[in-house]
Amino acid sequence: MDKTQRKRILFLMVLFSVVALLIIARLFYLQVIKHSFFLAKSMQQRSAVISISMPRGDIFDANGELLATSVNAYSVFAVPNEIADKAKAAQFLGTLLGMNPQSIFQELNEHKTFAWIKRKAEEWVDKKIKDSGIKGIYTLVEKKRIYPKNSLASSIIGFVGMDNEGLAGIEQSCDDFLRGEEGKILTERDPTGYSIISASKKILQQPQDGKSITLTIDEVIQYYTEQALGEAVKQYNASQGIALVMDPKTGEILAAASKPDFDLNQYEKVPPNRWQSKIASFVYEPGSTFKVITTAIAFDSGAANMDTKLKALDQLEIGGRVIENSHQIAWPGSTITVSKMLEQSINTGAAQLSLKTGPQKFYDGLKKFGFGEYVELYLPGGSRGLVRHPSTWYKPDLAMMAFGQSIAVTPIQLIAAISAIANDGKRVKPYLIKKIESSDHSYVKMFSTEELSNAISPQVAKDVKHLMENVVLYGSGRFAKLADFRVGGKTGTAQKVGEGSRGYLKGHYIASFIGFVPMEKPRLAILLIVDDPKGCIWGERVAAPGFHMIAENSLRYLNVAPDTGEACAIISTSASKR
Amino acid sequence: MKKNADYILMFTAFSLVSIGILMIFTASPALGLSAGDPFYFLKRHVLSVMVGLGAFWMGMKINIETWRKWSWHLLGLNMFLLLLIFVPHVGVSISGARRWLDFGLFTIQPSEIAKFITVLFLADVLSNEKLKLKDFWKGFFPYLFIILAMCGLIFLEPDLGTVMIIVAITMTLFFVAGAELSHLGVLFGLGVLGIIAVSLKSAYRLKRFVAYLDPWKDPQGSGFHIIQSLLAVGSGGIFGLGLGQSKQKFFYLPQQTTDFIFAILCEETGLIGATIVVLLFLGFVLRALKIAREAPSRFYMLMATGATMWIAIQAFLNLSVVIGLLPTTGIPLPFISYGGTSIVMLLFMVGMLVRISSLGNKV
Repeated sequence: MDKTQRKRILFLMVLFSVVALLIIARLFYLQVIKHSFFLAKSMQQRSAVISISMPRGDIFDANGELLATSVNAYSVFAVPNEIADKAKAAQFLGTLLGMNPQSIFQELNEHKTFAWIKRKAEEWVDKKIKDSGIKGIYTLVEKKRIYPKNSLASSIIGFVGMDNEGLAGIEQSCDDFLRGEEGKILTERDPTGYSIISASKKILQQPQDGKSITLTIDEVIQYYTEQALGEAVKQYNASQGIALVMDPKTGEILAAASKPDFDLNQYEKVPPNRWQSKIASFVYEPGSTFKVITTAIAFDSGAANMDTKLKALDQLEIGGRVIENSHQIAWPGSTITVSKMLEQSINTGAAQLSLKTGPQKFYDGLKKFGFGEYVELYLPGGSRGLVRHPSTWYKPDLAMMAFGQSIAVTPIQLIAAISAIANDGKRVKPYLIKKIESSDHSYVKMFSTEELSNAISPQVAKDVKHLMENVVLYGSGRFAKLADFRVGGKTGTAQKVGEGSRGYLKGHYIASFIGFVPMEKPRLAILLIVDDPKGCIWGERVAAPGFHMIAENSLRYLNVAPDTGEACAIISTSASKR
Repeated sequence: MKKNADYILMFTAFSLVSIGILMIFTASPALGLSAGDPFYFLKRHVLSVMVGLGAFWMGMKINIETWRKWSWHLLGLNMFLLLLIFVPHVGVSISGARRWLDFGLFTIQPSEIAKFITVLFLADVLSNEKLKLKDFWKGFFPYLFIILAMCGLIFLEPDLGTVMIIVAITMTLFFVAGAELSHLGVLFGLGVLGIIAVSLKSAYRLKRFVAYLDPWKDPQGSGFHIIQSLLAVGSGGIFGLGLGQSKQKFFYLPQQTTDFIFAILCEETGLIGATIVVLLFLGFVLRALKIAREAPSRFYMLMATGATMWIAIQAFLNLSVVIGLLPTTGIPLPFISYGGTSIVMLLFMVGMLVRISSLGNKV
């Protein structure tokens, strides 16, 4: 063998040794220096987060009656690629689901890998589709929200959308609680999306069932309230009605009704402006019901008391504005008591009270009652109402506020203020949610009565309560009178303020009634608002009978012992003292 | 004078074959499962290795001079088989390339046999005493032409990888046989130009080349193969994820049982396992070249060199591709990759090398 050959073989040996070293060096670079980079990249491409949605929490009334729950529904979808005969499949689905086969056919042609045909169908649809054996059409079990009581408390409960997201009411505002926490599991998958056999599974987020919510609403009282309100709205062909029932001592909202209402299971059939509750967002001038507040503020500030005498006037000119009464008064020019002013609902009389109180004290009084303050009910929306600062008041404003003009409130504010009067001057926070609880009871949040600062002194509260009883016994509140219970109340008939304009709308009124019962230990504060009644505009006619109905039925339902006759006699005496 | 067979060479070769079986065992179940049997590839591979052991024994026992006598006939037969590939129903096409002949019971890949024929034929003609190798037209060109004609058929399959291997074996054999370096330089230059021309003409080859230059430019497209390979290699680290723990084998890495099996090995056994494999290959190559250097005749020397180069070039090309040093070529890793004809022919060559090592210094 010649030398060249041996040398050239040696050259090959050296060459491959060098190549081997190069490869090892490169391996060192990739596997040691860049190790974490490639490891992360590889992990990243196969990591997949799987979400597990958990059942939504139920909604109950105060006594555990089911108001909202979730059931299985079957959603039909297609994988158009897998369908052999699309026209035939479209025909089959159209007939089965009562849909237009032409539009289904179009869907099947537009999409390749996935197309919803119908969401949340019933179980028999699922069965029919499985029986048909058509390849490429499938069903998926989804949760469907149902509302067993249909329209009951519809504006409070609210509803969810197609993907179970809260869209109105408690369903919307408490969505985070109701929805629970989606479980998140980190897993490894291959490029086609299948889990890798040796995949590690890491729980990123423990799934949690949705929490259930118990409302303070009592289904039965809610029913009575809706019935009474519905009748009033229907009889007077009103544009809408709002009614609230609250326990004045605890602050629990026992009923909150809106008319017209809607079936929660078919919310899409009514215009969206009906969906949300208006108890905290309807801002209106309370009208004569506010005279009770004026009286309470005047008494509490010391500007007036039970013995204060007012002048019965047809007109009262103040700051260039003439204040008139809504009706003819009996003896113009005579002297009347505060009780008479309330019984007869005399604007000029109430104005004398607020003028006696003075702007600052009147304003302070309003604040102590919580007017102009936001009431957190955990409902979507909500308003503070409109209470301007005295520095911006024109001269007539103070006089007009006395009978509920130039000031705007929400229903919840007004019923909370009246409740304070009924509750010996002690103000409590109204609340709508009694309990939030997880299914395994590991999370329980109870809401209870929250006492706020006093609105007025107990003595003033007692006096005003008597005056309100007189309204029912001798004045405009006659239709609210109950056979077995002593009632305090006040009517209201307010001119509607035109939207956008500064003036009042002619011929459009808000008729309302606010009251409480029974007199000594009030259990219920009730507010009825009938917006734009036709034919009759007076709160005493339109709203007071509704109060009567709600109070009578609810007290019987609550097994409240009737008031004794003696108490009535005492009031009669005090009334005769005037 | 007879010598002992080279046990070191046998040890390195059979270590690599064993590692191959192990790697097919861990890398193929996911792929096999999609064909219905997780051990489909393992079973077939073990069967091939058993046939390969027979071939090894044949290589050791059969006098190489016998092969030499028939070298021109075998060359003709191989040409015929390569042509047969283009006959419908006999030639089998897998993913666009016609490379296999179907004999009912088994399939064979004539291009694998062509590598052996190249070695045998060149060793025969280049060891001819009358050959004037330094004469380009009389000594160098005619034999080169015959080889290139065979390559032309293989190129049409198409199987550019095998063409490259055969050309590289041819060049090293001319080189070792003592050809003029200038002639080899011309051949090398033409080879490079040929590869560039072919790459420019074919969209997928051009893409592979572009991907090699910057794989991250199109990570979901042309860069996908090489990136997935680098991810597998890199995530192995020093000690690896452990046998069977590869994640990339779940269809992220293509050809996980053939061309890219080394990436799975790197991922599962880390730098340590990968280095051992590289060193086993180097050990095999150095040992085999030592056998060539000490071969009893010029023919045996060229036979041994050719067989070694076949294995060495394939091995180091494959390793370089997997770790991103060279563009994707489609060459399997000797002894380790799944592939029947390849493993049988390789073990046959190892048998032959062992035979040459045991021959005396002079025949």
